[in-house]
Amino acid sequence: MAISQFKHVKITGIDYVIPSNICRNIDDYIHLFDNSTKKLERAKKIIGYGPRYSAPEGITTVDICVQSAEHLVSKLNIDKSTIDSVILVTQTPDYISPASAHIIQKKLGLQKSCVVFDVTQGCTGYVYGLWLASSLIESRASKRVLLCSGDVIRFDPDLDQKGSLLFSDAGCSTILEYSDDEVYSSYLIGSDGYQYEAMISPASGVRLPVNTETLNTIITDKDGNKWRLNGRFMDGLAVFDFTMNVIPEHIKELLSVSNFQIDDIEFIGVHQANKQIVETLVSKAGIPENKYSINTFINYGNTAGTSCILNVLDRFQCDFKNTENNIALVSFGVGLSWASAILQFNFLQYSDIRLAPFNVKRTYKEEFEYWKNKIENYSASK
Amino acid sequence: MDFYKQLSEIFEEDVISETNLKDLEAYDSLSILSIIAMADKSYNVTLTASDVRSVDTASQLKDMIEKKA
Repeated sequence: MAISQFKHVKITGIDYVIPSNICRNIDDYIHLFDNSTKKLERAKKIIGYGPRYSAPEGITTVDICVQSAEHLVSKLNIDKSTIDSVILVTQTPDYISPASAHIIQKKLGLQKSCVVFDVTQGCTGYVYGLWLASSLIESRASKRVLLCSGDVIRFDPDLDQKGSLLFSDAGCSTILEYSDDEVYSSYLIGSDGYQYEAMISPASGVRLPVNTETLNTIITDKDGNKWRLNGRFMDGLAVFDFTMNVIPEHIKELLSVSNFQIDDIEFIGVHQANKQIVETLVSKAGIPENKYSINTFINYGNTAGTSCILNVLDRFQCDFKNTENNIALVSFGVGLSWASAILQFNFLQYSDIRLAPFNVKRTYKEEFEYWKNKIENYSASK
Repeated sequence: MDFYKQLSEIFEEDVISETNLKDLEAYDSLSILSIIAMADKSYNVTLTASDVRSVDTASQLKDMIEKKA
């Protein structure tokens, strides 16, 4: 893709929510490291494990994004009827059909004239969402966009728990709108679909449906790691090679095509894949130590699509008053895909990171009963 | 730092030129990542995971890095 540059899109608010119901710590999982303190400490040193947060069963990306968007709209004091587009970027929607953004529209009570849709994208999701929202606004198709982005990744106790302990759940809502004053932003996005098998949920759609066979089969690889076809399979070393070969050059290209030097950028929010990956790629890209941070991964884990913006909010402690320079976002992941941006935060009126518990309205069992009853009592003629 | 000293730090045990890396207890995806990171940082050489997996001994790894430098 050529660079996309926008001049009339401002980000006015970002609210970031991490469900605090379940908090796991790697120290409680020493059995995954053959009960060896040495092995555990080595993994912590290289990967950078810390507390990991999960939503309880029955709480989804939609629930977190709705709570976040309600809070954001009230903090910005905007009239909900002025939101004319809703984009949900997630890999963990409530349903394959309808798009989960429609549920967000209903729960927030938004206008029926809204344009509402989902985008399936993983670790690059937030940047994709910003780019898409900005395209709608710059073309005047939309004036005020609610971008919801997040993922709720279920912890599977039978599987690769070391892998699961990289991730936390999160939901983020962002308001973008048209600005008469000039605000610069630029985006560079790319994709390597040739490597789509490197990170994949093989049994998650129509190609290989979730059925009792795919649910009940656990497959062990040559290293002894266990995988489920309806879970997430990852060729970790292939993804690492991709990251090192593509992302450092991509960062340099983003700067050069945007006519920026590294000195013009105050901070680069890098997708928090893990400590080793981030440190190696920033070193390769020649990013000085004061312009990136790995603390977000240690404190919150990899929150998938929204982890690069969490990295920025975390670094600035949500205080952008003294920020004069540009801030970059760099993300990469499933697809394989990569997406980066250079943004200005001068128009940000509100931003926050909130750890919040969620009350479960319906468990899986209750959801099952709800649909069973609804359909049993349905009749088109009586 | 001496190359074998760097490997000894990665594997948390003594590594000499004849050591077969694949026999070491800590030979896993984490150590492969660490070797790639070390080659990049100390020698400005880009290794892939398959490059690292294709060699057995520490001296073979050293030769590979020197050839690419």
